[in-house]
Amino acid sequence: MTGRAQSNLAALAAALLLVCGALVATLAVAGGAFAAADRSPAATQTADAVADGFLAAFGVPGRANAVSAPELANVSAATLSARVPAARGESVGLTVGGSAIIRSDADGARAERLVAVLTPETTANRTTNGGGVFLPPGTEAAAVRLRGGTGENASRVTELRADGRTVLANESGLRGAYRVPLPAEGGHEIDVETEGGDANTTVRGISYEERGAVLTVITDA
Amino acid sequence: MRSRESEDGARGTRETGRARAQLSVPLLEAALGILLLLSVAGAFAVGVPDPGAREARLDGYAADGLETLRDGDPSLDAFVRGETTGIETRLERLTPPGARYRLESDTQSVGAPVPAGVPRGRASTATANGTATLWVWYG
Repeated sequence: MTGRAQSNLAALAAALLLVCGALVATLAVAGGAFAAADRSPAATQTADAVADGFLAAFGVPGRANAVSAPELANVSAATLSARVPAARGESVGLTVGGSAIIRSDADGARAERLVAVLTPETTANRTTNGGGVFLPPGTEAAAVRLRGGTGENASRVTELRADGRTVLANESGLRGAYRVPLPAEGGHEIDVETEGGDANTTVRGISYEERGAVLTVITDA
Repeated sequence: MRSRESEDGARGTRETGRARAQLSVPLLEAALGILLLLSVAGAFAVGVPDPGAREARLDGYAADGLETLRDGDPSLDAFVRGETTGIETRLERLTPPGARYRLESDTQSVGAPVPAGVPRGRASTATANGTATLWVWYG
């Protein structure tokens, strides 16, 4: 009886030792896991803010959640930090549809957006010396170049209207290139009001070819 | 007296099995305890997979898709009004490669039926003529 009890005591001691050892190891692993856990979502917020800022700064006017394919070529780390405040001082990697726009070795938080990549398609130049230009349905913007003179006696463009709505007006004459966003539905009419004779104006309709792509922004943790 | 008898009886059976009962009970308990602790440690080390992560990402895609559909032709407004022409082609182009979709308004729906048992994202938005719901999933 005594012999058995003592052998049990030794086994109990050994068992306690093993359990304590395992407990210490478990606490070490748990402590490591807690230390490594991401308890501050600030990095994720930065990535989200950069993604939103990118779409706001490089997006297509009049279209939500859309970037222009030719514009993507102008995106670099320098232009991004210049135009997106959230990206300043951050290492940012940016990919659209799997192809890298900005390369970076950042590997912390990531933000994803499903965006439309738009490739603009323009109609042929239409010239008008005052009067209306009709644009086909599906046209989402008009690129207008006004070449009239300025001043009292010059032949000048005084008003530009889209579907009857005044977009630009200046009694002394309008000059320069403008981009007028138009609703996508239905055809459109661009009216040019001139004074003092013919004022050469060219109008091009812009429609977009759409493609869905995933925008990924990766920032350092 | 009765209990004593039963104890004796119990001892009797133990006596016969005594040669085999060599495994120390504390060691057995320790082994069980260590297994328990290791399973806890394993859970910490491996980490728990987040089942909501994929659905959350697809939810985001669906919300972004609805946002994109608001502009352009045919628009989400036109679809909710009942004009389904062209919206399917547009959705086909706008969903990421490999993803499928279903767009529903109160009266109309386009796209494949939403499958059960796969991670899928869902987003709804209100338009002037009713609510539109978009599902996105991979499959």
